[in-house]
Amino acid sequence: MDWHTFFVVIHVVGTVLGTGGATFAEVFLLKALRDGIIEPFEAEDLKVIYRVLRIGFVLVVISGFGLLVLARLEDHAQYLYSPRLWAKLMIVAILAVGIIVWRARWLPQRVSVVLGSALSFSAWYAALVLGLWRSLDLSFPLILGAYVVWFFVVLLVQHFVRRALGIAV
Amino acid sequence: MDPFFAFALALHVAAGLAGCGGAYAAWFALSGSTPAWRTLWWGTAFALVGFFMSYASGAVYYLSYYGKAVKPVILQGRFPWAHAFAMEAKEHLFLFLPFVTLLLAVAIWRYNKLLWDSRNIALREALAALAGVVAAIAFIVVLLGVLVSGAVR
Repeated sequence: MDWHTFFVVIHVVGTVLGTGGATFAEVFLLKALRDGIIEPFEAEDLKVIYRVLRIGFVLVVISGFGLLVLARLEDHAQYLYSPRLWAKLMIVAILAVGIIVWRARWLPQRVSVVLGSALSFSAWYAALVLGLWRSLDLSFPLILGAYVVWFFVVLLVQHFVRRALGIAV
Repeated sequence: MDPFFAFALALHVAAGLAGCGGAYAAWFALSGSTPAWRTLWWGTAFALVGFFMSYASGAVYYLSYYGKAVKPVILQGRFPWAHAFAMEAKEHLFLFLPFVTLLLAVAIWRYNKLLWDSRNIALREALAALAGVVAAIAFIVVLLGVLVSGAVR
């Protein structure tokens, strides 16, 4: 197996873990919050899911930069100015901030849960779509603008789902 | 590219990324209300070792190869600002990053037992902010590095 294939496989595995983890984190969090109390076994499940999410994040970052170094060493530097790549780099930064927001004790717990959850869910799906949609031909500001719209859609949908389930976060 | 310089460049990126990740892990550990000693300890160690290794390998690459073989290509290409702005900003930001990280590491190792004491919240928050600033600067340096690499064509 050559280095490129190796990094692509790791990148895909990381994205699968991250997107799947973000989905299950959302489902398990809603399930845990329904009765208003997160039981110890529910907290344990969530801890495992967040660990999987972080592993996915680390795999995506390491393999992504592996691919960037390969592009430079193999004289494919033109890929490094692709708007899609820069949008993915911004998504990585958003994911990193999202993880901190989840853990931040300096934020009110309500803000931490609502914002952290929306950032993580929206960013992982955005990363998945950007990774798969190879023919996407939009400028960097347009892609980021689309992400901002997507983030608010996720925030709104999560709000309505919580309200429908009678969850007060 | 000569295999030695290809290795130096790959090491520069990998070690820098490890440093950035380490500083981020330290920020993550210090942001929570529950102790995360292992993450904090390993994160700080990765940041410190990573930045110094990246510093050394980057210096070898920059002094022996970049100036002669890469810089002229960038300056004559479509994106001369990649050297004039991105590389200049990157190297100046990077000059003090390992030393700020050293400060962070010394503070964390010196006060480790006291950090999660409720009387020392201000200290922990200050160190969390410092770790966050180091991680953010390191990420900016990474982005500038991508800009420089992308201009070599």
